Amino acid sequence: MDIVLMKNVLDRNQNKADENRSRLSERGILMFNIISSPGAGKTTLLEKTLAHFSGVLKIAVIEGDITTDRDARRLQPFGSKIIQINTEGGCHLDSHSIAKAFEHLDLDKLQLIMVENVGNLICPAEFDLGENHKIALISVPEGDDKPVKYPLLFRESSAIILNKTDLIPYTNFSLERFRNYVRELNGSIPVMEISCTTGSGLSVWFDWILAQIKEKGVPE
Amino acid sequence: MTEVASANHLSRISRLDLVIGKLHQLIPDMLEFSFETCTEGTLAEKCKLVIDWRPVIVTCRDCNNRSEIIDSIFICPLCGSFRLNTESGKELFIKSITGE
Repeated sequence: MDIVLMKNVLDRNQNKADENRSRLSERGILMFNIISSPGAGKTTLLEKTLAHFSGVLKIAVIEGDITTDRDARRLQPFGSKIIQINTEGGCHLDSHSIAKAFEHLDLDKLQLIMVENVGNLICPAEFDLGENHKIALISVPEGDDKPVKYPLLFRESSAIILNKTDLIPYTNFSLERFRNYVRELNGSIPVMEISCTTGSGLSVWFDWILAQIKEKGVPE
Repeated sequence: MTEVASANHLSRISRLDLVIGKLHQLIPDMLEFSFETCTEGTLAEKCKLVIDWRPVIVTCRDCNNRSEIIDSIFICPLCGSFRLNTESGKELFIKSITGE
């Protein structure tokens, strides 16, 4: 007997992601899903971002880690609500874990939720959380060929951040090659070249966030 | 698979047809190995896994040219535009289950 199914393998994740997206949309909340390798600087970028927008934007962070609450503790001092999810070995967050995290947030008092996914360039790109934008963060020591090695993430993202640009003089990282790889993969995507250590380029990232909020019409 | 099998009163699943777009980062050998491991001791043990790999096909929003993307270069080969709509390559679904 042949049973024709045409059933999406990830439909349970997709249905919940769509539900998350509409819950946020009803309240005018924007959600970013920040994806990078371990050690690229996601938490440091969040520290800088929360410090910059403290008292200006109402931001919450959902922290995804395999284990420990080290990252969540680093983000506590900035006055934003931080929710830690431990995946206990899981290499990515899914839409159901995000829906559970929403239960600990007062959604009526937020403008922006930033999700720090588990450090991994592969699986997080496959699982929709209900975000408005995936943001791919890569750092100079990882090499300039990361976009071509992980094409799905760089195709699915709305913006790319290149961190640790202050280290370029000490490595064989070529900005020209990196820009070409990105251009071939996703020619219209904004690329922000930053250094969380020196602060270089961070204002471009902050302006990009404000532009997304303005575009979505989130009340400031 | 086992849910579908029990709903349809199947005692054995002999074949699973999957459709997977090449944009997904799935490695055929690893997928087959994992499938074999997961199905051991179930209704689908020794089930044949048939995968229909779909190419990455895009249509250019500027010149309407339809082309296949090879080596992750998402540029229209006809006019050089980056403005492409992905028509195929993101599929990930179970097409059918065969059993008795």
